[in-house]
Amino acid sequence: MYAQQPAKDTAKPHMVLGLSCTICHQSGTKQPATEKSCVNCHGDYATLGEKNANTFTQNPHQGHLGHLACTVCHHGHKPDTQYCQSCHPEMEIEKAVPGPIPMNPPLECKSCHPEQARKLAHSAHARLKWADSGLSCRACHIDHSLFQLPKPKMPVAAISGASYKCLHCHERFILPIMKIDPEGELHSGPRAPKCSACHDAHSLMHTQESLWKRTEKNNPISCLRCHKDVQKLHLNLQASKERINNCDGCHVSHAAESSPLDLASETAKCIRCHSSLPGSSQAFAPQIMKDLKRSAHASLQCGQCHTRMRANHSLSKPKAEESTVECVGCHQRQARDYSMSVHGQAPSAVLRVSGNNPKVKLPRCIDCHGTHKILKHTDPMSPVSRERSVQLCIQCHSGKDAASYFFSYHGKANKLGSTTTAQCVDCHGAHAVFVRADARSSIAPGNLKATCGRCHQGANEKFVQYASHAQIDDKDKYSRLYFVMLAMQVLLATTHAFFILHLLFWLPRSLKERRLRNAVTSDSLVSDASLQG
Amino acid sequence: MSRLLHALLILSFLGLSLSGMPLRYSSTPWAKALTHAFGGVHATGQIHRLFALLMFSVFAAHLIDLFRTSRNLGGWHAMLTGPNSMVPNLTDVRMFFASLRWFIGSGPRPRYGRYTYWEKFDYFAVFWGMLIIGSTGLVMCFPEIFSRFLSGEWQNVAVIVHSDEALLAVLFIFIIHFFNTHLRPDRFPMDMSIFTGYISVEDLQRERPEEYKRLQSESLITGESALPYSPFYIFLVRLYACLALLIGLTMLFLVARAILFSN
Repeated sequence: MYAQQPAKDTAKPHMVLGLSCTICHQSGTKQPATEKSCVNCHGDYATLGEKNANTFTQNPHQGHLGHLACTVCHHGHKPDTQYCQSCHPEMEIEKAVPGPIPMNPPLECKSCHPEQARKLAHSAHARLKWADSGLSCRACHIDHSLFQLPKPKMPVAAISGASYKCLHCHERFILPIMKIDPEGELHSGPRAPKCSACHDAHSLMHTQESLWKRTEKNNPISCLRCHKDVQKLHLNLQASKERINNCDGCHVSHAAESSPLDLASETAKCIRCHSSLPGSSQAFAPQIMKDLKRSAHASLQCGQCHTRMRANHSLSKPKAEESTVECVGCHQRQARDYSMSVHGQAPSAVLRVSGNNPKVKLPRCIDCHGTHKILKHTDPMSPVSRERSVQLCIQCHSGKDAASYFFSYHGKANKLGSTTTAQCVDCHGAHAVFVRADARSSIAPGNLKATCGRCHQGANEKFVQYASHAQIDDKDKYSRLYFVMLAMQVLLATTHAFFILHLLFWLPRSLKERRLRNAVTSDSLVSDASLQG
Repeated sequence: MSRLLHALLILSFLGLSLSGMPLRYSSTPWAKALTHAFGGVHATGQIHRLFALLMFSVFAAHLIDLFRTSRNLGGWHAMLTGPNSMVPNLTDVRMFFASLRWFIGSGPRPRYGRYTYWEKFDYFAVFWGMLIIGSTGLVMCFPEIFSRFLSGEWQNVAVIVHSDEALLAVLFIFIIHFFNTHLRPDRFPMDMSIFTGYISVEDLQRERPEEYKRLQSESLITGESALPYSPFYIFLVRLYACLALLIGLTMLFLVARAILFSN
């Protein structure tokens, strides 16, 4: 027990100073003094708190109960009392008492804070085995005292707000957080969210599933409170709500790779859902992952092509018309050639090239090369391989283009499986495809010698007059070839007509001759036998 | 000599048609199968050139043979107007109309000479065909060389002519020649004289009475009763000829199907 100090009253010092009664009793001596009259001379409660900070070890004017009326302790003509002692009987404001100040009788936190106590009772903190009956309120509320205790020494001074209390125990989280954001821009540093920004202050540990859900009414706090732009993105997928709605589906909560996902593990994260998600669209089929593994892009991460996902969390696949945007990052030369070519031009250019189908769409990277199944052009299974590229081109360039090619030696040899004979791309180019009138075109008159000469060494001016897409049934355009063909057909037809008629006339006569001769032979045989007989 | 050349001609003709027709009918399954069997497009092309070389040699040998014959017969004029000449003449025209009458039963069997008019046509068709196909084949084989003095368009012409003339030759040999000389019912299955060099007196008397008369008057008919070859040799010759006929008819079937059902 502490020794009782002689009680002082408040009025006496005022009277010693010779102050008038009305200084305190502003409304007349019959009326009690009010706080207002104290404040007139002594300043307000907060000012008093600061002024007394050096006077008292435990400052009664900065207690955890906040602003108390002056008359709670100061009774005027009666001796002062210490209101603190009503809970903490052992506490004296002039003496330092280290550590938590015992209360008498012990006051249950939950009698004032039932809601928090209830949550805490169900939290992981309540079940900690090493703390007999879980953590008490005071484990976290270490400064829930009348007087400020010195702040605990923190490994990271910059951790702000309430978090430092958590980090007493959860220090292991500090390093990952620092790691993701060494500059202190995101989840650490002055702007960092407190632990309680994501974790409910008391029920905190039950939130593994619900913590990040933006739709849960009872959990209004989530990543999305700050990361508002994410709302329109991946999370909108209703079908996959359960799996994707959690940010930590991709971003590990504390190790929190932030915006740029860790490249090395990105695909692994995507395929957690995208390899097995049942009942989803084709884009989610496991086949894609198989294709991808076999493809030339097997070492790429999803986000390297699905750049929109990485840039703003958009789930949408690379927009077909934008596919070059994704591909160009690596395939710059091809993309440049393509963007200049007829395939990369305005639709009007396409109408000119393949006039038979005005609705034809421009081919984009993925139309020829495929998407997840992209193979090197040296792979025979690739649509752009020498084994298959012609079939690819004629999907759009059917009709005369294809027919005349397959009429030529090049086309026939190709059809019979030759991979060395000239294909579409050998003359027209693969990415830098231009119309003949364009001087950049490999089939422009000025470039033909070089183009043909790649296979036919010594191709000259005359050589390149060969009509590689001759349509010999086109009487106007290829009149000479047409008449040569016609003459040959007439020759063939007349010769055969003549001799087949000749044959048909001969056939019955020949049959008769055969019968006649057989009869003669058998007759002579008979006569031979009769002679012998 | 002629027998050997005919045998080699058969070999080269079959080789050329087997290795060439797949290219003309490249979209048919048998074209792919044949090409594959030959070892790919490139190999097929090389085989085609090889057989072409053989046919060129046959052609050259025949020209040399002709030259030698003309010397033996005392000059070109004697050879071309003599009884063994391949050159068509007025008698052939008469024989043609006589044959038509005989076919429909309003005349006797014409008294054919050593070479009938259809045999003469056969000969010149092949002669002409070899010139046309051979020359266009050369143009296509060496496009870079020929383009020094021929426009590239001649390549297109060469393709058309080579291909169409080849089809004509294949159809003609495998239909008309086969029927006229081998497969017609009174001669079935084949005329062996081109392979053996001999014809029986009986056949000669019936089929070519004029030649029989001429040979008799010149006392050139031998008294041999059997062919001067071993039966095994005859068997081999028959096998070779029958194989050639079979291959030819198979080709005919495939080509005809490709033409009729191409679309």
